[in-house]
Amino acid sequence: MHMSDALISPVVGATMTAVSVGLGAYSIKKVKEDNKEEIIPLMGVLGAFIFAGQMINFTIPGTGSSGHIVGDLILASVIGPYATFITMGVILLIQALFFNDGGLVAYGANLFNMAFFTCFIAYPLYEKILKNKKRDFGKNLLFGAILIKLISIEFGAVAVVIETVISGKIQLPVSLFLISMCFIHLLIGFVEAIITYFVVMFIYKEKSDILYVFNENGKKYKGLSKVVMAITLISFIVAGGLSMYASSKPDGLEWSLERTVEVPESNHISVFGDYAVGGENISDSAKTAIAGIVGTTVTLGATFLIGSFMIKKRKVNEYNN
Amino acid sequence: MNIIIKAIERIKKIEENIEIDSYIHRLNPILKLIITVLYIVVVSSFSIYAIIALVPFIVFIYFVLLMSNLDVKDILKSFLVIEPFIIILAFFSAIFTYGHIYIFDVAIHLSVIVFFSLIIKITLTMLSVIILMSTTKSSDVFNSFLYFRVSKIFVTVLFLTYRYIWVFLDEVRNTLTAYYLRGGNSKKVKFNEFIPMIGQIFIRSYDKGKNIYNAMLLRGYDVDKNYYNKNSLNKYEVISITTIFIGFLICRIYNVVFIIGNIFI
Repeated sequence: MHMSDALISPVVGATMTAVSVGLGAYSIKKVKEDNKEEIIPLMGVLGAFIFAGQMINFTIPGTGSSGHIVGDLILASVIGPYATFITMGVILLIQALFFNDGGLVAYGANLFNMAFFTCFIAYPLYEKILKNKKRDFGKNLLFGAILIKLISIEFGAVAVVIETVISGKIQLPVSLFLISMCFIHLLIGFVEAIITYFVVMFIYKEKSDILYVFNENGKKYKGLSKVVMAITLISFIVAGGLSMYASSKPDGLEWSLERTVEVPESNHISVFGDYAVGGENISDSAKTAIAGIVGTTVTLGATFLIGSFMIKKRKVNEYNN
Repeated sequence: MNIIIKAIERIKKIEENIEIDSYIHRLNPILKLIITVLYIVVVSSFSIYAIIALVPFIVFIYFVLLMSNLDVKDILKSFLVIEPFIIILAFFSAIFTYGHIYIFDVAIHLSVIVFFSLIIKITLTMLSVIILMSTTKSSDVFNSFLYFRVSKIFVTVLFLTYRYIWVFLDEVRNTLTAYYLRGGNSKKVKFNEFIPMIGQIFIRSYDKGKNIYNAMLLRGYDVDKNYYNKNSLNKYEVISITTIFIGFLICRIYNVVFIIGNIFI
């Protein structure tokens, strides 16, 4: 579900980063309120565990394909939703910086899509289901894990589609993109839910006292406040509005391409037309195309010439040293 | 197993590259972080049809790569691991693009333009992050976040997670080696054996986290104290960032390549 930097517009990226930073600050405040400083090294170690655990592939019975844990709900079951949000933020940042999974501009969007719905929307329901005394814990956990995982992953998938469409960086038809994303993530979510069930059940049997849901000591979880919810909603509207404004004033190349696509084939308009400089006749496509080709050749030629000179100089210096 | 070894090798390679001495390595980490983010923002702001307008940004990253004394082949090799995903994504985006453009009366399908534009943009944005992390100590990058008022708790967790990734990658590798040695030829873990395996590592991690906290307490740890070297920018660095940003903006607003081309024709 990781979005790349090139697939998100700066407006959407900045808005989603602002939202995620706000949610992160809120989570940190809540962790501090819980007075659980001991949770800090725990977040670091469990974050590293989740990172490493994602690298164990197992065979999905009956399908022949393989899967791995994502771990957000397992983490939330043990350290709570706020600490999980921070930990997921750290994991995603390390993935973006060291493994090129995701990106720096897309970081806020990725954090929002992958952690917000689990930690702030679905978690209160999860805790309620687990505390239901009418059924035994195992049944509650199975039902809770499937429901929560499906809710969070489907919302996350829809958010990816919305952000991508608002960004306007890829050309997939919205309906096809939405259906395929929701369908794929439905399957992924189901597999994840089953893994979450088994792992949390294992922890419950071996060391139930570490589960956050049973740890009432100093816990002040009340879900997301209405103010934060309102800010999140407004941010989506702002991102959408700003992007629409931006796309109503496209840059030159886009503008000329829109014209090019719309006009009949007999009316040739150059893709370079908008960038023609120094010429009176802006529709002179041949001149602008030549300018583009010559400009590119000269720029790249000079670059590689200077580059090869620098490499040679470096080799001479290395030899002399 | 392969994926774990690759992850370990990748982090090792990054840490080896940091030891190289170059002008880029010696720059202030905050400056490098700001310029990387600005670069990514400007490159990702181009339209889906931009190719020639991206040339100045290819030139910029090429010179930074050369000035950093990094092994270009090595950097590109690490990039090839990611590239297949990019190609698939760009391909799917391209097949849903309709229309033609005409260059010298030759019709070129827009999908070709969209495909190459996306490939170039993703390559450039990823390369900029690879260069940042290959020329800056991870601890310096994490410390730079404090300059942007990122919470100390977040930075502490970031430090701990990064350090413990090594420990856990090693632990997972040992667990898997033991599993494969006992389990014969199986290349993947069976589902019913995966659960106790991951569950046990999880509980071990939890205990390790508690022990670390106790050790930190014994050494007088207090999250509100400032343990990190807080860097800042001097006025020359601020001027450098502003100049580079103006340069990026000029290249974003005007098609510099066409201006150069027009000089020669």
